[in-house]
Amino acid sequence: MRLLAIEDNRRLAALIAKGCRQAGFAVDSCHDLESGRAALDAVGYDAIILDLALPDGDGLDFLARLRREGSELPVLILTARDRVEDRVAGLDVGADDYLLKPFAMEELVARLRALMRRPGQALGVRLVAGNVEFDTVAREVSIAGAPVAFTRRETDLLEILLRRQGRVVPKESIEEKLYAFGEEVSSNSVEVAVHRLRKHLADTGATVEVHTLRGIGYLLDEV
Amino acid sequence: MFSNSLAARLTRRMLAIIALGFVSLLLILKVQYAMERDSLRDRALLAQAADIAAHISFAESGRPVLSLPPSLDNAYDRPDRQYVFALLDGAGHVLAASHDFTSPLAALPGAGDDPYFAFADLAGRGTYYGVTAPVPDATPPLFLQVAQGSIHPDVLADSLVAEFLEQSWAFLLVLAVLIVAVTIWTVRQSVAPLTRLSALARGIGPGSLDRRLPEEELPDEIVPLVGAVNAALARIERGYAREREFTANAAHELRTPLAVLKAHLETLSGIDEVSQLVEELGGIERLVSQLLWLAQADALEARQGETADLREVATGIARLLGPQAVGAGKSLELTGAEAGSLVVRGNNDFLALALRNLVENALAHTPHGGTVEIRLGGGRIDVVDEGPGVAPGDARRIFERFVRTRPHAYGGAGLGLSIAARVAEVYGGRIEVAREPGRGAAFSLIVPPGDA
Repeated sequence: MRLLAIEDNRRLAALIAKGCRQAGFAVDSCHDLESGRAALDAVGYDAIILDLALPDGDGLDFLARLRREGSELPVLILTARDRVEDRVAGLDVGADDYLLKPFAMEELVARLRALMRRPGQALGVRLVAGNVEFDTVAREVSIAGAPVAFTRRETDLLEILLRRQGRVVPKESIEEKLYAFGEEVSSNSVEVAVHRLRKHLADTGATVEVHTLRGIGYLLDEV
Repeated sequence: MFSNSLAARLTRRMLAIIALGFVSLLLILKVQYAMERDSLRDRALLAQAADIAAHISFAESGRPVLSLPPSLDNAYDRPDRQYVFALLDGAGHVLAASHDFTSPLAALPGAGDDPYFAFADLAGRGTYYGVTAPVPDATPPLFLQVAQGSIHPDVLADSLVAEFLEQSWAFLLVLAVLIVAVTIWTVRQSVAPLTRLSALARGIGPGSLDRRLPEEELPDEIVPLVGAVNAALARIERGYAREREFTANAAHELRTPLAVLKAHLETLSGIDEVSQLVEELGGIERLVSQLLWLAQADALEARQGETADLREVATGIARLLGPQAVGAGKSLELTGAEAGSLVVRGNNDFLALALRNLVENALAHTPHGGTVEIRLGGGRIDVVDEGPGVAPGDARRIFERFVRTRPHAYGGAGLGLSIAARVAEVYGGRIEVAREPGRGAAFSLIVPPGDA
């Protein structure tokens, strides 16, 4: 996986490159749009990390041109701007994700992985949280390296929560994904499923926890 | 009908003026006629006297003989006694008269007296007016008294006006319709540029501040107003752009070094002091965000007709801050969202900013293991914490900028509540603080309902 980082602050660019390399990506750094464009023409990248305020222009214009030319390369915008309209503008132009400075390197890496895992991308068949690992192709769960048998419903629920690890998953969206259209769903069936998964995870020594936020949703986090 | 529009006002007044003029004209006509009528009558009476006098001849004895031709005789012999006369000698004795009058119609006037007289007819035919005229070339002198019964003069004038209206109503109606139509058309034409301007002005909002109102083809009276509006728009546009640019630049200049610092610190993980430094950095990050939000909230202006859904706002913020609450060993819950949408004045994103600051404040004041409740209902959002509550004396002060009731105890800069209060204020709402029995403080975001 090879990334292009376009960031004019050289120290930040170096730190991004270092963090990404530690996560197993190859990274090229550019400090302005012109060299970024040149690099893009020369090398086939898998994703771009794009700063917006660059010395020779606005990253949004660069992105808009890229999309006009038909490129579907995943682009993660890295920016200091957090005005409401900025965020909307970025996604309108065709950014795939948006990360506000300052950011945690861990978060950047996780977002990049998620981007390259999107439809059309090959990466990301293993979801990991704490000592829990989930193979999305074989649909197998292992805890602390040992395979553990989960029921189909538990496995599906775990996958939903793992895919949005550290974020809130609304109850309705679990209901939608877990139960087929037309299937009888009682008002507390999601709660029952979460309760079972939680117990199963605790019994098998998993270092993750499923939190219930009443009226909001569920959240899987490392303990 | 009684709308307050300029066109309606002008039309009403112009039509009132026209109606007034029309009524005045009829009144003048009536008065004029009444005046004319008297002198006409006087002259007519004298002419009648002269007519009769022309038929007086004198017998050899000098006795006057009156022989009226049939036409006159008939006129003075009608049973309705409309016209009467009497021929008197110098002593006032009746020599001849119509309708068998035996006494004079009136006493003979002395020299210099008014020759005209009036008397009431006993048969109830109203007032008679008459004149005493000397018969020319008669010696000894003779006098003719001629009188005419009359309808009341005002009634006559009224009937004249009525007759005028009766004969000309169709013409008057057409004239009136024409006047009303021309008046309305003229007024509409005159205010049409204003109507067009209002439509254009309505379309200008914070998103289209580069638009201006056209000054061409406008009445001279309106041009200065439009010029002033355009100048104001230009000032707002410049101010808005400056504010935008400033917060964008400030954000970049402040956050990029923080990002460098943070990324750098992360590469040093494993050293004890580093985690403390990362925490300190978190405080600075938060301060920068709040300062930028405050700048945005200060420049915020409510847009006409904009509405937000408090349910959406509460759900969004609950999902956004859920992980933060869990990460801090606390919990967050949302109640009342099942009840459906709660449409209020305002913008979803900015109301979310207000709520976010209330919830972050509540989380900061809630002890480890505690829960913050976001409660939706009654046209408001309550944020209930499990902290120590707000002392009554502090209830006002806590919304001031950089005010912290327990300095440094919670790591905040004292800006969150002022941001929330500022946003609520922009949309005509407020933040209320109360004590929630058995728990802690309850901060309520209250915004007036939206029109939609």
